[in-house]
Order: sequence, then C-alpha cells, then structure tokens
Amino acid sequence: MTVSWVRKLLDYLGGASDEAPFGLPIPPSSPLWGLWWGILLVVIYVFCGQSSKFIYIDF
Amino acid sequence: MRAFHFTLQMAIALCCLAVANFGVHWLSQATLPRTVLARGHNSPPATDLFLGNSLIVAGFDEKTLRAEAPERIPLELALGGTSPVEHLLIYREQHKHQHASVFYGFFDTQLTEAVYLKGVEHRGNRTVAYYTDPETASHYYYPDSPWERSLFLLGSTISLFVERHAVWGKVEALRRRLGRFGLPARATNEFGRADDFAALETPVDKHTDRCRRFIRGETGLDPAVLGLIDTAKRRGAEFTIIEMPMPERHRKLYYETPEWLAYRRKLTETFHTLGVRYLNASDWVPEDGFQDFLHLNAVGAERFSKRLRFSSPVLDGARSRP
Repeated sequence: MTVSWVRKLLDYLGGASDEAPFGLPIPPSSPLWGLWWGILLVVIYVFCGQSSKFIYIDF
Repeated sequence: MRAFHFTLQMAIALCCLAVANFGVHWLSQATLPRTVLARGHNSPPATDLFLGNSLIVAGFDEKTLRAEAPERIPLELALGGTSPVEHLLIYREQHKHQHASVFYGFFDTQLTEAVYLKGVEHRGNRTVAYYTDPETASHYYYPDSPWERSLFLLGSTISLFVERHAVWGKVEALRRRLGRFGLPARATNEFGRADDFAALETPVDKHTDRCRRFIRGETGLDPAVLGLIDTAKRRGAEFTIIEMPMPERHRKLYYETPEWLAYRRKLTETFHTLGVRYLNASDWVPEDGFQDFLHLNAVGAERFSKRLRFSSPVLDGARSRP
C-alpha cells in the first residue's frame, strides 16, 4: 500500500475520481458501501451543528 | 451495480442512522432537562417551588433558604434558556409537589412578550417540551398552524433531532478548547462566556416599545404564564411573581423609565386581579452580587434568598407542611 494508492483511494471515496484504485477489494455492489455512507451521515450530523453561543446548556 | 444492491446499501445506511438514533437517545438520559425533571420526581414533597430560567438557577440559594426557614422545604426546578411554555410543562409534571407555593422569577418583558423559538430552533434546554407534553407544547408554540404542530410532534419522536443540540454542544466545547491554545482565557462563569450574556438584553428601544404595547392593551400576559397561574389555582397553591435582581446599569437603562414604571404598575394590578402576589426584587442586590450582565453570583444569591425569606408573606411565618 503506497502513498499514491492511498491518495487514489481518498480521491475515490471523496468523489474526485470515478475509478477505484487498483486492488480495492470492495466492489461497487458491496453492502459495505452502505455502512460507509451510514458512517458518513452520522459524522456529518455530529459536526454540522451551528450551536448557540450559550454552549453551556447546563444552566 | 443493480437496483437491488443500491437499495440494500441505502437500507444499511438507514440502519446506521437508526443505531445512531438509539445511541443518542441512550446517551442523552442525563441531559439537564431530564436531570431537573428527575429532581422533581425524586425529591420529597416541597412546600415551595422555584421556577423560571437561569436567573432563578443562579439567583436562588436553596441552602440559605433552608437555613433561614427550616420549616420550609424549597425546591428549585428552574432551567436556563427556557421560556414560560417550558416552565409550565415542568410545573405540570410536579404532581408530588402540587400543593407547594410557586415562586416565578422573570426580568424585563418576559411575562408579556416571551421569545419563542420556531421550527428547527427548538433546542438546548427547551427540549424539555419534547420530554414532557409535546402535544400541549405544540399548541402554545404554534397556536395558529396545525401543519407546524404536526411537524413539531413528528420531530419529538426522533432522538437525533430532539437531542442534536446536546451533541453539537459537545463538539462546540471541543472546538473552543482547541481554539484556546496559546490564547488568554476569556472570562467564563457556570453558564459560559460572561460576555455572551450581554446579547440576552433586548435593545432599549425595543424594550420600551414592548412596555408601551402592554400599557396600551395591545399585548397581555403570555398564555403560558396564564397557564402557570391557572394550574396553581386549580392546585390551591399560592403564586408569587418575582421581578429578579438586576445590576444597576440594567436598572438605569431599562427600569428607571416612565414606560417601565407604568408597565410594572399595570402588571401588578393585573396580577392582583388574578390573586397573584408581585415582589419587586430588582434593586435588592448591589453590584458585587452579580457575575455577569444578568446573573447573581453566590454572594448575591445568598443575599437575595435571605431577603426573599422575609419579604414574602408566604415564606415568612410558619406554615404547615403538605
């Protein structure tokens, strides 16, 4: 696994490239992609908040 | 890739969201609104309930009142960043304390023009509306919109939506911690960054306008405040409204005006008609008793609670326990 391969993988995951890096063992039809999308949705949910200035809601 | 594979992947993604929903629900069992409700549920029957927002959280010293009036059993169930609707819902949950006298603190024109958040802005401690009685809450928040009421009720069933602010608050706290590296600390108190509370003050001209509207009869007591009073009456409980202590700067700008004096006069008369006592405590505490633009510090809370004991006919003198 080279740096170049990892970069290609990140490009593929991020949508910058439509071609999967050579040797990626997960085909497009794999259910694991559903898991990947689910994790991404949860991460987006966690970090997308524009919270109030009064962050310490414990008052 | 066939449609079947895509559908399966989408189903798995939705399952992840469902698991996250359950996780958020489980992790949010100890949020502050739930803690306050649990305190009401688990405390022995009280003689006096103290309700309101952060002014009461900061300003009421239960220990001092217990020391000054050992025959009383006070219980503070205030919640910061909340409106009269949430106070009403919390009060209605207090079946164990239904005969307790109620003390309700406010500042400025909160009793006649409370600020209600709309739609996706129901967050933070206001989520207590989701935990207690979302049906009743929806009627107070959206009296004229069945559609918005339905959306509110739908939202109340999804933990990812209800508790989002609790999650985002943790992330924001982490961001602030990371952002403070190498920088001098900003003044904070138990509620957050002290400077931030200046934003809670309404612009003076808006405040004056609100006073005038009430004086002219264009606005009246907030429906949730009337709900609080009505609930107390049905329970046979005494109700006292407290105009909370404010720093001198705030009193000079907001309270030493003819509009506010007329507003207060009309408010007092209105409450008198409803059988509610009104206590003006706005000038009870000197400057060194405040920790920011609005909230009392520990010294101020002790002074306020001590004086409240002797200024309130309800608290002053022996009363039988419930």
